[in-house]
Amino acid sequence: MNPPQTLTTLLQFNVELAPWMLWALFGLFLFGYGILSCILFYHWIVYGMKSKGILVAQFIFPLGSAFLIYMAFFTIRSF
Amino acid sequence: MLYLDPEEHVILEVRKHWFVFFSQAFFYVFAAVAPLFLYAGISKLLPAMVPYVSSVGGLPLFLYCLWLLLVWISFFVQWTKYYLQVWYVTEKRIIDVDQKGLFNRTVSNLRFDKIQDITVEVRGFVSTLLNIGDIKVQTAAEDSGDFSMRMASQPDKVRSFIFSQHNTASEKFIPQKHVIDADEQIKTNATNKEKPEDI
Repeated sequence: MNPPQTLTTLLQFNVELAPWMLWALFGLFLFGYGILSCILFYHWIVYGMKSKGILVAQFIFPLGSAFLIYMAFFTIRSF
Repeated sequence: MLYLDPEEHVILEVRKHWFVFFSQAFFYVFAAVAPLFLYAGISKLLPAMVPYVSSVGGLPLFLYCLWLLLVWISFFVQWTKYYLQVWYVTEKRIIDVDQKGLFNRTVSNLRFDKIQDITVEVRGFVSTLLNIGDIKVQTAAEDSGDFSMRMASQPDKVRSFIFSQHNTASEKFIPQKHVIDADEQIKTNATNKEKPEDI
């Protein structure tokens, strides 16, 4: 377990950051992201009418999301 | 979900011009790279702050990834709104889907026999260059307002297509409808004569 680190700003406002805080933030963010993604997919499947643009979105969106989530996961692990 | 009649097909989809989406997408690109410029600006203007920020490991990169995810999903919300705000032109009618937000959606129908006129308005240099215009379909129905789409792509082609469909539909459906109406009218009159009046 890494020791808590200190984030100091110019205002000398100290915040002790423990890794679990970032994991909690990440988890909360992913929860919201997951819900919004489900809403988007619902719209694409129900209202999309198999439009070309919607099919492209269904392909690109998960790929980009997976890459960025992996990047976030990787950076939080190195904290 | 869009419900079509058994022998009805979507033959044209009318959307706003891609330039409308492009100009909105530009904002998201700016939002994605803005933190990088902000970081570079802080490094130059307030170099004393950089060691503090970099002392917390991958935190800035982690926060930047979260920011990018937020921008990414917002971009696709916009994308969805762009693609779901559409006119579907079928053999019988125009279906206007107005997707104002993810939870705000209105679907209206306009049969070709209700169309009175279609107005196209192209304003400005960019609109003329890219063939962007506002299409307004005036209806004969008293209870429904006019149909309009702002910044539509190739408005003149859409107007001529709708007019051609309108003509085709008039040839196919209107005489048949008159016969049915006349028959029904005769039947109704006969029934009314037989029926005793309600007291």
